[in-house]
Amino acid sequence: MLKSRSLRLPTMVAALLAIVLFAGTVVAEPTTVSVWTWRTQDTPIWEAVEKKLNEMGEDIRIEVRPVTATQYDAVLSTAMQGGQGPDIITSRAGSTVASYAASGQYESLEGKIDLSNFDAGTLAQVSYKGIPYAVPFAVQTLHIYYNKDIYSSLGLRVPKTWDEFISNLEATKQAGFMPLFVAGREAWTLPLIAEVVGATWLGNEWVKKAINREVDFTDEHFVGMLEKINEMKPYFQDNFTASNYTDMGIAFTTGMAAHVINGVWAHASYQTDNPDLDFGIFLAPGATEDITPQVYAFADGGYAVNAASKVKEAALKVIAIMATIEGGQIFVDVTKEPSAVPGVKAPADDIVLQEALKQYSEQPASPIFGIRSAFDMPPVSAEREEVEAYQGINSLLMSSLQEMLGDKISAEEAARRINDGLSWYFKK
Amino acid sequence: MKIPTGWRDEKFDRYSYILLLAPAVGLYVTFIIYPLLSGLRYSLYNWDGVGPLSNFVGLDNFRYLLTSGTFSKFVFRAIGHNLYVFGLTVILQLALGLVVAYLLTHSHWARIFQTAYFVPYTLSLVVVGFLWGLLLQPQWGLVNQLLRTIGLDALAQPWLGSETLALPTIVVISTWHGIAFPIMVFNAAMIGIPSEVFEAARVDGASYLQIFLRLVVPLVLSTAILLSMLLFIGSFGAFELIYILQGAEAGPYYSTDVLGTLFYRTAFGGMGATATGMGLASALAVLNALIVTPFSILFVRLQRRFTHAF
Repeated sequence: MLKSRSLRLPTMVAALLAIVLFAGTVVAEPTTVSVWTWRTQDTPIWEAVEKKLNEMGEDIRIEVRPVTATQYDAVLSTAMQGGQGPDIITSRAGSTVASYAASGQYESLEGKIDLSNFDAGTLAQVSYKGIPYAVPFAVQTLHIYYNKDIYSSLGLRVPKTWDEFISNLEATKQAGFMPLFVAGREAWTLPLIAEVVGATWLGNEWVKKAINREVDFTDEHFVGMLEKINEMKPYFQDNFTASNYTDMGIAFTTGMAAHVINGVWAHASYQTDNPDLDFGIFLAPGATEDITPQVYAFADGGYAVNAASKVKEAALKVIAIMATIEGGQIFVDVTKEPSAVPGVKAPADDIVLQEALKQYSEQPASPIFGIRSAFDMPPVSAEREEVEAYQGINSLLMSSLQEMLGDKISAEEAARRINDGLSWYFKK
Repeated sequence: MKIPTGWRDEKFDRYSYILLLAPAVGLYVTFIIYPLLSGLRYSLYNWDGVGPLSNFVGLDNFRYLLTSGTFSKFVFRAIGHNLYVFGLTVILQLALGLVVAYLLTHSHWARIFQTAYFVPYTLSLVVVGFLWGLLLQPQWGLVNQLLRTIGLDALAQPWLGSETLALPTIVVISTWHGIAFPIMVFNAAMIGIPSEVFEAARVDGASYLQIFLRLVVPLVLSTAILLSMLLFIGSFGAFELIYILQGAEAGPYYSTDVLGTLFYRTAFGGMGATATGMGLASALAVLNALIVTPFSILFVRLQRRFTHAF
């Protein structure tokens, strides 16, 4: 009896220990990392990344919260301000990264993630004062989409000169198609036109001079580029200011419109909306055949880590995957968009994406002048000296082009307004 | 049943209203007063909205938005559009609402009609915006197709793409969505008028039109003033429908830009657009409140003056 009593305590302790240990193994929760995104199409990417991490022995669960694209910036800034932000932020590149980095809300990635693979220009769009704060995901390229069936039925070929392009527009108009469908009701689509035309017509040398403040946007070369856009205007569909982006997709995928100007991101939905649609992409041709057309490409965004995240280490592990070729390949396979990671291949059956990647690697406009360029990064709070309605070039292009295409102002006036709006850059 | 002594305590009786008011006051302070004071505070900073509040500039944001030339042009145009929305909404919703409500008081089918008018009011503005965006699409939208089919090609307009038509079109859509409310309120006010008043008028030989103009209108005037106040506040808070249909840029050429869309663009940017700053945007919000508050007080005073008791 005494013996059994003396054994009781150690037995109980051992049993308790066993329960605690056993319970520990049962209730051990994986580390949950939250990701916010405006890109609803990205959810399968994170499923694949989670699987990959689990295969690597990392017990990490990724929780994705998609937010409507048009409300994303407002929702994110409010949440971050209130300390309720996600662990990983799908961040717009350029001024967004700069603002959050300057305020210490994004974690610096310097020395934490190997980003040496990335192109310096792309990395600059997710950096602040030379320090990277996000892993770039997509490089978006801008193109003129054309309907191959319409082209072959009218005996047209991909234009090699600007005049040939205008004559193609005329031919499609004569044949009863909408030659070029423009979503004029949504001002954000108008800078795409300027960026496609400007990539070729401004040229790298002029943009370099503008960045170095040797010329400004009132320069006749820039005005001349705007005039080229005006030359396309007679071929916009009737009442183009009343059409929106959805209308543009409908008009193109149903074969009503012969051309649209859009980013490479749209090609996958065009293919899904009408699998029988045979379409291709080309770049704005120059004045003569010997001028190589250039593609406007910009970093769409990057994956950043919230500096206030409680699971920072796990979050860094997650975005580190997206900096590898394997992560880039997951991105391309899911989204059918060009990955920012060099060396990632387009799927064999995706001709349009292959073409976009080819153009990007062979004929990129560099440096860029529009969205995500140096002109699109107005000073953040810490750099502001006086109260001013700071605007980046993309915002200025929206308002100026809308008025120019509405015949309310001339190309010279549009250029002057853009230049005035960029005084924060040229006064530096 | 014996009531515990504590419940009869005099002090408790005197201050019990505080307990009763506390939940409402708590909600009011959290959701109205706190954001209002935060906005007021932000409006004193040249701050881009990201990170800690910085760059105190006093009233410089107000000076800039009222006198800068470029930005103040946007501000005054937006205020003009808000006033335009109010004016047109009053004409459409109040005048039409009053007439419809009067007709309903004389209709055997009142309940069916009331339900019909009320259906759009139950829809969210996002649905309304999406629906009307499709209907008014210039190339293949139902409205223009219908007009072309019946030979009225000249009337097939770019409703949301025309500088002159876009804002009135949006007000009409807003009326389609919201007219049920004034109808309902006017209807309730008319039902509240004693039937003897109408009977006496009829005995005196008054026609329906005379009864409407000389009896109903004066008797529901205080209701109309109350509704005008709500419409005024609503017009200066206009945002959703314009944002859904025209985007943050409130096109074409800012012809539908109101203080709400200007605030949104300034604070948060938009698709591909950079935000200007939360400080300046907050100053805009404060300005909006400064416009709405005195007019609301005026409407309340007017409403009291024209209230009739039966």
